[in-house]
Amino acid sequence: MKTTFKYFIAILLVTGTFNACDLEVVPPSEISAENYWKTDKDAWYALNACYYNMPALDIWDEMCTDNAHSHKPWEGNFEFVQQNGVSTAAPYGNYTFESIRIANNFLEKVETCNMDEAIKNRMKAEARFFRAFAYLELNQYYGKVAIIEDLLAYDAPNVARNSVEEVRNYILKELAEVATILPEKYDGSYLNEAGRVTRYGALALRARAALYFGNFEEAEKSAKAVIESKQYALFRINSLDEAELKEAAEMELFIDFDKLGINRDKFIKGMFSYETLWQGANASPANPEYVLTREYMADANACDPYRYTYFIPLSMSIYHGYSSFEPMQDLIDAYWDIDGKTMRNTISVNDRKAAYQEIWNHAKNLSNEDYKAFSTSPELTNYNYISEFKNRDSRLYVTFMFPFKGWHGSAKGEFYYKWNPDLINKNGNESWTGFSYRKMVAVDPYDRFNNPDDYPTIRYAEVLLTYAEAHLMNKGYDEEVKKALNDIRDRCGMPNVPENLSKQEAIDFLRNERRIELAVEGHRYNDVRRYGSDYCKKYLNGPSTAPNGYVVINKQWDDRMMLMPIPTSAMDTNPLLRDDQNPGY
Amino acid sequence: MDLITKKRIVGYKKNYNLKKSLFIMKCFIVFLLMGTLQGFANVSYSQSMKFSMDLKNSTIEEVLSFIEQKSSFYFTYNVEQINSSRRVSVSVKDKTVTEILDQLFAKENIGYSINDTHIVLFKKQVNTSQPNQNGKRISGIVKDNKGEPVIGANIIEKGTSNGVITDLDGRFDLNVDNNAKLIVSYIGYNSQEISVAGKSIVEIILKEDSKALEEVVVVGYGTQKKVNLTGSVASLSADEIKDRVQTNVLSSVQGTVPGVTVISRPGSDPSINFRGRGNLGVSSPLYVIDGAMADANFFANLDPNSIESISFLKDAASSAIYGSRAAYGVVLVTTKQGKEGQIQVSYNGMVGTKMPSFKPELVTSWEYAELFNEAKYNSNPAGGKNQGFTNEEIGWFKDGSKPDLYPNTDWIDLIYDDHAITTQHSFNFTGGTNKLRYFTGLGYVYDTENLRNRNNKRYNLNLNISSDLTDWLTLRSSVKYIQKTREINGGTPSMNNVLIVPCTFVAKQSNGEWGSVDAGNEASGTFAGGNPLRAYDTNNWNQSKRENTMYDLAFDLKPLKGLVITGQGVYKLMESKSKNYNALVDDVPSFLKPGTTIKGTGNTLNSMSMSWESDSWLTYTGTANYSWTNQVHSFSTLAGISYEHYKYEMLGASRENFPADTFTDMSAGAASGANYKNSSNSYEYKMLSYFARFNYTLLDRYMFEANVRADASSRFHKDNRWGYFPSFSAGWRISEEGFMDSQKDWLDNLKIRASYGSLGNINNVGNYDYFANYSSKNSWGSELSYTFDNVPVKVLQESKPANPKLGWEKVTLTDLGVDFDLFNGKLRGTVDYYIKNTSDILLAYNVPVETGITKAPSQNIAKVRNKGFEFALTHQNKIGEISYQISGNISTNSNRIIDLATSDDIIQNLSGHGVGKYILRKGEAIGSFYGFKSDGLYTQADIDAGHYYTYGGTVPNAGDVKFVPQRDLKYGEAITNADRVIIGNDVPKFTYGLNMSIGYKNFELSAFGQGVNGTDVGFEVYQMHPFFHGQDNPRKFHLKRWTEANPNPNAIYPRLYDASSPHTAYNRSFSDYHIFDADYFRIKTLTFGYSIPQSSLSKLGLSAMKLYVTGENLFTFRADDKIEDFDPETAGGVVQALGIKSLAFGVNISF
Repeated sequence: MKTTFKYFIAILLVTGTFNACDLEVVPPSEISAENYWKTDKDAWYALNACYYNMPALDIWDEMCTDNAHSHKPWEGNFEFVQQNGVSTAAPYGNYTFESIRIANNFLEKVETCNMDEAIKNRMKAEARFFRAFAYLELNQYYGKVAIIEDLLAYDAPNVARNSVEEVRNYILKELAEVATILPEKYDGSYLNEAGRVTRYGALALRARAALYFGNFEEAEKSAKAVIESKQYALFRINSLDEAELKEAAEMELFIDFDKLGINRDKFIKGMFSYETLWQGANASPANPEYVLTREYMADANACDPYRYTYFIPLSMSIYHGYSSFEPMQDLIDAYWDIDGKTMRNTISVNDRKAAYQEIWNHAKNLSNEDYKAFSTSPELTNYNYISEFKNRDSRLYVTFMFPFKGWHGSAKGEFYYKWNPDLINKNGNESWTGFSYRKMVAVDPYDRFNNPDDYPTIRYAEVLLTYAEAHLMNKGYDEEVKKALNDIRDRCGMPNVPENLSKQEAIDFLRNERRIELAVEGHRYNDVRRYGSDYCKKYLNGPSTAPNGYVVINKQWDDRMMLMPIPTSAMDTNPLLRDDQNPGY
Repeated sequence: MDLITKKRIVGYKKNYNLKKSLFIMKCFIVFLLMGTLQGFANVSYSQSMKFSMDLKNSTIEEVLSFIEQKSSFYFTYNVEQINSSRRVSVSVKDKTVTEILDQLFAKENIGYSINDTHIVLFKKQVNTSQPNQNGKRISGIVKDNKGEPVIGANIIEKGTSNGVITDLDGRFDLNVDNNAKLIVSYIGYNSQEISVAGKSIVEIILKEDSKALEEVVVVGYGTQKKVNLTGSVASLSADEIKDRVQTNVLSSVQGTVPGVTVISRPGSDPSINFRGRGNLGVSSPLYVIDGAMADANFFANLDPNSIESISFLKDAASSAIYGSRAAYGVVLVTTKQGKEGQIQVSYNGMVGTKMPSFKPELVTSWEYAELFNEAKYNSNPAGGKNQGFTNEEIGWFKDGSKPDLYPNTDWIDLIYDDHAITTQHSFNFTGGTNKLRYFTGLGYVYDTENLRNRNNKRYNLNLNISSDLTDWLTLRSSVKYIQKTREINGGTPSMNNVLIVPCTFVAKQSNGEWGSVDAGNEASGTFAGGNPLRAYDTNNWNQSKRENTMYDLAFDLKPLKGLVITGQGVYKLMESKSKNYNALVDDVPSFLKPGTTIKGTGNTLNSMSMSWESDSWLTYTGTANYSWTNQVHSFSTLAGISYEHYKYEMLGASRENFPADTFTDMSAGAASGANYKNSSNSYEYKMLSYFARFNYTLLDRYMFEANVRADASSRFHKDNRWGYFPSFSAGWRISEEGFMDSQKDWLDNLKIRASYGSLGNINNVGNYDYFANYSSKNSWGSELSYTFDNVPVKVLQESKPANPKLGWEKVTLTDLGVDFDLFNGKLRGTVDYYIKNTSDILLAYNVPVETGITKAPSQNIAKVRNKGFEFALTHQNKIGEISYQISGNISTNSNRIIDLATSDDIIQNLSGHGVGKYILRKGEAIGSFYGFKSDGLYTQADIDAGHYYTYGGTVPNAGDVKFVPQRDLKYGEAITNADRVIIGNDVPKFTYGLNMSIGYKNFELSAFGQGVNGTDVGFEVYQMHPFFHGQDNPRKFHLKRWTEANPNPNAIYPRLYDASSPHTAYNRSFSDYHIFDADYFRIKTLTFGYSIPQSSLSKLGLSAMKLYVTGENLFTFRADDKIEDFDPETAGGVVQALGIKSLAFGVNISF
């Protein structure tokens, strides 16, 4: 009995303990590859990842140029780029193949999805579009770059860089091919959402790429196809809202409408047409100017964290402002006179310093009410400093906040910009250049920090400018060029471009017009480099100053800056890059 | 004669209750045989009734009561004649009452008469025992090798029956023949024969019988005699870890065991490492507590007072039985178990204070201003010498005349309190019958911190019960419960802000408002909002509670002699809840513009978040152990099986926008929208294992052992799920050989041992690593979402490519060791040499960027070899009344990467900042820093002569770091990445510990020191560089920088520039200028104790009481003479917490 009991316990032990030895587990919060890539829904989710990774605002590049500055070293090595100080250990650019892998992954795996073949084919073209886009970005920073069309294993052999030529041809070829597959537009249903890349999105990107590559023939061809599709137009408003009307009234201080015979209505509507194309309900794929749209919305996971607090100084915020990005005097100086063709004679740093000192001495101790009263009274224009902002290109007034300028439609409502030079080196959340951005700043921020508005990654104005430039280079300054540019001028309420210009004059004119129209959008970085060494030496050298004479940055150009260094971390993981670094690093 | 008779009325045994409640008797069975010298020939109840007792420090009356209680005897005596309150210790087994009485009254001249059960005690007539003609009277004392008197030792005149036993003081008197020889014996000690010729007083030191020295050591799934061990096992007893201010057991074992490196980084939980870093990821040991697998956290939070012993299994022979988890050693903890006998109570308490060991020394505001100006000037000389601050402003900083505008803010002083309180209390209760034994340990710890408004509490319960249901079945059950709570009332100042918010910023304005002025101007929101002092003042709160419970049920079944079948089921459950509240905070009012505020410095949206985490760990283990032994052979064999299931779950939620700051429940927050967030997480793993051990000992001197374990884990694809881990070891006790007999007088024990085995490591394998996964979250865990026409759409993205070939990390460990005991135990030591090869090391290394893989899967790619010596030596002795013990241990470790598969180098960032670097390179050690080698700073002469190299396009100035090219470069050419070399290492070459204790009468002084040698620390970003973000505080050591006035080419810091200067990028490039010597020797503990003498204790009814004062980390000797303000145990990078030193007063009491 006792023995039986003992063995009973022993058997119980062995069986009881080990009957549950199932060692299988499944990932609880992720889906494993074996259970994925079955349906069109799976393909949809994966392609959404390409859209999620679509490049959008490229303000960082802007700060590597003579357009803008950041006094916050932790935002990036922009000051090092501006001063020829980047190195492999303190690099600039984004040496990443993440988007390329996402596209390659989609292209390889979507084949197993059981779905409509036509849609599958189109979705593959979308993925290839994003891959080409990623290559364009890599090519602009690094020139040579490895072309990878397969889903590489983690232990795949290292790959060498392809030549610049190969990369460029690859981008143009891919975009040309996908343009034949992608539709002109989508019906908005599931798998056919309106915001997807269209044929013209692909061609517009191809035009951009070809222009960057100096391939004006292809650039003109692709841009022309977009224009001739008649699918797109520049955004224009027909009426003004209350805030705009208030500001329009105050514009009398800055523009001598009557004296100069300026059409008030056209100028003001042009100003606000240009400003509001990025705002609120206008920011959507439905906007005729939006050729390719990065969509955002008021949602914690789907908003743009940059186009609000990073742009504004703390002094104008409703909650926070970092003033991480600040436009520089150099860019202000580039804006046309109101005639749309002459440049202002730049005043000396010391004269401006004196002028600013004079007006600031008057304004610095004013109460908020008095400051506003001063900013809106004709007394303001008695000060020399304000003359710099009188009778300028309409886009200047809505691209920047400059001292004493009022903005009635801001997220905060009415705001009169105030710049205290004593805060340089002291208060990092205020501008140190004298200016802040207004263009693209959220007017209805989400969650106090973010911008819920869609962003036009490619807008029609860029296509027009590309077409104009490519055509100019191919055929000269003719009616085609003027037509494209005058469309842009008409929208912003500025006069037509000059009738007659020599080719070189036209090139210089167009470069400046492009700088103004596309300011803040990140094109300047790519443009100055393709304009060549002489241009860079002229524009990207020497001190940039704040209105009080403070040297914001002492720019240094070296031709090695045409390309960025492959970062140390990339060379450390791919030894083939060590002997194939860009020149000068 | 006035005879006062005290007659006791005796009840029947077992029903008798001791009247005295003040004393608590301690009794248990000991295996003790005592030679009887004086005996009565007697045949009666008095001869047939045998007693076993172990009464320590009891009165005669208590002993008699005990006899009465256990038997029918009752005593009668005259209290005038018999000193019944005399204290004695009696330890006997199976003795008759007469034998006990003889021993009790051996020196007292007390007689007795026995009439059946009635015993009368009386004072005998004075018996003047005169020495006979050829004899003499000899007096002596018998002591053990620790100098303690041996009570009850037998002294017999050789060849006679004449003898005596020693008294309570170990003394004896005996009349013997002039040339007699005495044989002195006592159980557990070797008998000794001494001649008394020419002596009248003798002192005899009994040497412990080496067989009695058979200390038992806990090993995997069992215990083993220490002398029979063939593996490398170090053990610590409870005594060695108590009396320390540390509330963390891991910190308490630091430096006590060679080859076991405990790293207590300030601010983080200590980590433990056996025999060097074997792999390139996690190399932490396995923790087993009372046979149940646990984690480091559970171990670290045990109450040190309830720990009986800790074993460290260091080699493959001893740890292979734990297979795939044992590659980095095994820590076996045994907690105190119940002991048969009366309840025994002890109390340990301590109260102390803790203070930072080293505090960062920041510059004053005027020094700040001067350095800032200098940095600006060096970056842009055209701007002049006062680009940041005018001389007038610097003057205001200095003279303090405008504290509201130009302050000198000392954040360290404002933020850190010098004294935090720590107190610990623990009670242990143990007792039981011969069928049921119990132990209960209760512990309580209360701790505040050097940061204000916070407290930590810990409650420990350890309940162990074992019961013998029958003589062949024992049930053991235990519950261990640990609760840790942490409460913070108010916000927490950020250590980063202490460095980031400049000392030129006013902490608090004179009008009582929070600071809003930085050097005369309105401060940025970053500074006003980041004011570290203001953080204390918010209505934020945080409460967290972690409960860790281990339920353990086991039985031992002994169906046959020598066979034990054990089954154990353990369920460990951790539950952690935390609640955090961020209250509304007003914007900081502007001091300069009254009526306005500084935007963004307040909090307009209050929020509460809550998280609940749980992990459960279920383990079943079954073992069968059979052992058989005779005079010559002894063997035992063990076979077992175990199954484990671990599961983790987390649920988190947060709500914002509470109507007021008074709510403590989340339900009052937003009920939908962006202010309403929930999250969750879960994972699990399972493991099945078989294991076996075979153990054979021949003639107590040749030993052999073999172990094997097979593990299958759910973390691997089923095709390569099983791992097999065998080990073999052998030992030879040379000292037991016949040819060593002549050396017996000095050599107590000498053993050599060797082991070889293979182990696995699974710690670096993720739970689902062999799957290729797609996730809707990015690698930081935030949701990915795109939107089409303002409808959010889900995004699925490859989270990590699969590696189906994933397998175990394999470790083979060879160990050679020698153990010796010399000179009667005066000198003991252990020497070990080991080679530990780790192969198939799992490394989620950075795959080439071109693959596009951002989260790399682990691969079995590298091989690492660790070699080292471990040496421990203990010397103990007694000189006069002073007894002392000195022990030291040292362990060396050299570490080489033998193979890195296809990669030449794997270079890893020190942190996300991409500044500092580590390199893994074939032939080099793990933990190597990789950067530029420097040769001081450039001088103006170097620059003028063109004797410089450029880097990153920057032409250096005088005072910039002189990077040394590693290639053949001409002056003026560029230094590149190819010029990087290994510039330091953060893994110690050797570590050592020194333990000293001295006892004199009731006083004892002990000190324990620990040190490391050959280790560097690398600092980076704002820990290293002044003005890192633009305005960060420099530290005192920056005052010793290079300047034009003091162009010291070996200055501790190069020329200053502001953050935007390319020279800043140049000088910040990771070089040996950022590496510092982290060697140190530290007096970890210093304890002075006093044991209250027995005579005073008896009045209090206590059996032992010790008072002590102890200090931790009181003295540090450091090799670094450059920065001087960091704790050398700090991890490098950016220091986020300060090290601690402490001083405490404690008491240990046993009742």
